[in-house]
Formats: sequence, C-alpha cells, structure tokens
Amino acid sequence: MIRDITLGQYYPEQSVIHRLDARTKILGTLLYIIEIFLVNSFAGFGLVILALGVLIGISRVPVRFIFKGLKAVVFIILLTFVLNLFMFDGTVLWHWKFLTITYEGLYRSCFMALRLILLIIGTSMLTLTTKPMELTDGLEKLLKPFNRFGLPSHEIALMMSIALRFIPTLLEETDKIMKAQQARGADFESGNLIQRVKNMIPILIPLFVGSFRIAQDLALAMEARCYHGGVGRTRMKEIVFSRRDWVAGVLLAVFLGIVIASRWMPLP
Amino acid sequence: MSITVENLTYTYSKGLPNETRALEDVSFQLEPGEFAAVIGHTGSGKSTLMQQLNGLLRPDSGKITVGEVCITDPSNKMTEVRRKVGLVFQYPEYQLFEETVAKDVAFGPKQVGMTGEELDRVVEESIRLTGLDYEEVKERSPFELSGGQKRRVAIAGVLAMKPEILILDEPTAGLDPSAHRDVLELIRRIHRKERMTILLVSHNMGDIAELADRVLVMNRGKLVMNGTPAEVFSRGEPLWEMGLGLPPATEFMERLKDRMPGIDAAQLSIEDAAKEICRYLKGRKK
Repeated sequence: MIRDITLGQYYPEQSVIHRLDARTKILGTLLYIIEIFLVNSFAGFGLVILALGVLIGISRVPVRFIFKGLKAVVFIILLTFVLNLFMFDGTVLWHWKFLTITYEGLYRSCFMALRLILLIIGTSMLTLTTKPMELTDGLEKLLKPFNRFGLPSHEIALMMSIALRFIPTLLEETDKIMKAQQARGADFESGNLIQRVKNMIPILIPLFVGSFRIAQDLALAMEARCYHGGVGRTRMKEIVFSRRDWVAGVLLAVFLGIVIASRWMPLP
Repeated sequence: MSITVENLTYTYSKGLPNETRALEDVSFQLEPGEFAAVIGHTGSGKSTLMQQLNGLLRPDSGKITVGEVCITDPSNKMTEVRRKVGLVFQYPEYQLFEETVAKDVAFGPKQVGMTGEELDRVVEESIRLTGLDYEEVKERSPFELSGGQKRRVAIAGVLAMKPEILILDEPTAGLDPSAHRDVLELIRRIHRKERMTILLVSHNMGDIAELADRVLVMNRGKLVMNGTPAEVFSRGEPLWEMGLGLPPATEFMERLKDRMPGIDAAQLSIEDAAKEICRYLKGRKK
C-alpha cells in the first residue's frame, strides 16, 4: 500500500541510460521539462511520447513500475483536469445549472492533464535510472560554477541526497508505526475526512519523533567519520563524460530543435 | 486460547524483481496457556510469522485458527482478532504518541470501545502489571521516561486491550541488563497471573531456556524444529549451522564434555549444570 509510491526510487538495471553521466541526465531532464512547456499541439506531445517511449525501452525499466509512480499523483492530475474543464468559455458541449463544458475547456483540460502526466513520467526516469549518489555528484558539479556567487553547491547537493536517501527509510518507518498502531486497534480506513485526519495523529507523532532521532544519529555518524563539509573533499568515483554522453547530448539537441520547429507547424 | 497454523505460505513483493519467499509451509499448534519461543536468525521469517498471527499480513495460502475463529477467513472482522491477539513489536517505545502515559495506554482499549470507569481500571491494572508505579507515571509524558520504562508503557498499551494471546517480538532488544531483567520478569508474571498463551521471539537462548515450554526454530522461512527446550538445545550442531546458539549453561556443558567424557551436557540452567557437575565429580571419586 504505502510501498507503492515509486517517486524518487531507483530501479537497478544495466542499460545505456543507467550508465550515462548523471550530468547528462540532469541537463536532459531540464531540457525535457522546457520542451514539455514549449509543445503547443497534441501532435507535439505525440513526438514527446514517442521519444519517451524509446527512452523507456532502452532503459529497460518496466512500464508497469513507472505507472505505479503515477498513482500517488492521480488526485492532482484529476483536479487539474476538472478545474480546466469548467473554466473556459467557448462552444458549449454540455450544460447543467452553473456547470458548463466547452469544446475549448475539454481540449485545454486534456492538454494540461497530458502535460502533467508526461512531466511526472519523464522526470521520474531521472531518479529511476540514476543512483542517488551519482545524482548528487552530478548536481554538485553542475552547480559548482555558482559557488563564486555564494551558492553552497556541496551543501545543497548533500541535503538533496539525504532527502532522497531517507524517503524509503521514512516510508518503512511509517509502515512499521502504522502496523504497530493497527495492532493496538487503530483504524485508518473508515470514518469521515476529519475523523481520518485525527486518526493520523498516532502515526504522525511517532514519525516526527523518529525523524529527529534518525537525523541526530546520521549527524553523529557523519561527524564520527570526520565529515567537515565540501572543502577539499575528493571522490571515490570521479564522474567523467564519455562518448555516449556526447551522443546523448547531440540527440537531445536535435530533439529540442524538432520540438521548437513543431510550434510553427500547422498541427492539430 | 489455542493457535493452530496450517501450511502457511507467504511471499513479499510478489511479481517484482525483489520477490522473496518469507514463509514456506509452516505448521504448528500452541495449547492454551503455553509459553512458546521462536528463534531464527535475521530474515528467517519470524517477524512475518508474528504479523500473520494477528492479521496484519494475509497469507498467500494456508490457515490460521485462533481459538474457534479462523482468522485467515476474509469474512471475519480483523479488529476483533487484533484485540484477542496482542502484538508487541520490536522497539515498541517508538509507537508512543500521547501526552501522558495513562492516555497512551488507554489508546488501544478505547479503540475497541471501552469507556469510563472500566477504561480507567484497565489502564491502571495494565500499568501496575508491568511493574511501574501507576501514581507516579500516569500523568507524565511517555517521552521523558527511561528506555526500560518506555518499553514497559508500550507493553502496557497492548496488555490494556486484554488479549488472550500475547506475541512479543524481541522485547528485550537494546535494553540494559537491569531493564532486561525487569521486562523478562514482567513477561513471566503475565504468563503466570493472566494465564495467557505467549509467543516470544528472542535471540537470547538463556532467556528462552529459562522461560519457554516450547521452542520453534525458523530457518529460511521454514519451521525446522519444534520441541521442548531440552529437545531443541540438545541439537547444538544444526543450530550452529543456522547461525544460532545454545543457552550459556548448555554451551558450557558441551565444552566441558571434551574434558569430562560421560557427563550429561543437556542442562539448560546454571543450577542444573552445577548439580550435574557435582554428581559427575562425586561419581568419579568413588
């Protein structure tokens, strides 16, 4: 149940995508996000879906696994869909009291929902194919140029990696506490909304107390191993661009060009 | 109340790459009032088995009957099963959440519908049963107690639901020796006073030899031994191979056997071991 959340999880595989430099993948993901917002037609989305499909195929991450991650955000997608559905003036398709669905509204809400879904699937590919450690290393290197403007790139990267690292730990902790409270007769499945929120208290308080405990232990363990921040720190695995990263870079650039060009094409 | 487990099988994350068989064809029976211990090294399926017994996990196949009720039958209400089978998790103090000890202990019984004077009485009884001073701790925050006290409050929280079967998952893990003794003493007292059927998961063979009437040994999801402590601990060799050990007294006697051939090594307590050594030495003088 709670373990179904795949957002931010890593899927171990030996594909080309997995072996790409984390920097390539981060920049690629950024480009992808920009492209999603550049696209202005369904045909354009068709292109993006095609590319994403090829990417998923190469990465060998099971599609089922990726879609499970969507379950967590279904509510947000539905909300966007419904809000957009009723908010546009235009050709009326359906009318009931104060609710009106227009052709433009339907078009718009499908468009927005598709955009959100593609956004989530695409960005989740980054964490699915990149180990958290590589991700942080890549991010740190990418942010390094901003150090001279006072940006603590190492600390930011570290904070991110700790946050990512502790998602599964906290989920596990939540699962354990839920079971323990269920064993004491707690019921999380019934009651109205207020009742349900109230029922969460026996989970939230131990979880909160627990996260402080975990944070303290982690800080102590880091200090015991002489961690003192990013200055002068070396790495066990230096990340380097290889030929496949250049190939990936060229492909990404070409795709960006296609997406931009698609904006001016008379497409549906 | 008795427990009957028949051909229980359970697999984690079925259909995913990290699929693991946690339980395989496990069957055993516990008589009312029996004190059984479960041993097995980490990942042998002990904790999974415990969670099956009060319906937190559902088996893939097999049947569990508690008293007269088949708890693996989906039509039965789980809340009733969970009231009858009290489960104390590992490090139960991490589940404390209320402002005061009394309120926290009252959480369970309140959920099953107890109110008013009955509730107050049950809370007081359970806290006293764990050996804590009720008047002193009831208004205190559970978070300011010592580790051993917290654990006893957590156990009281489960006892307050008046279970007929009590399952404890490593209740003494991480406690100092005096708190360890207190918790053991508390378990023994519950068993004697309340006539509960108890299932104890532990890595401390000494404690098990002292308390249990029966020992169940789990290895890789299978129940590999099921017998009295004397029977199980007479088989040191297979236990060692499973990464388990013997009670200190038994181990000592096993080693002594090399020097004193003919001595009976199957002693579970230090007292019995001492008696056997005396008997052996006297016999040799003659």
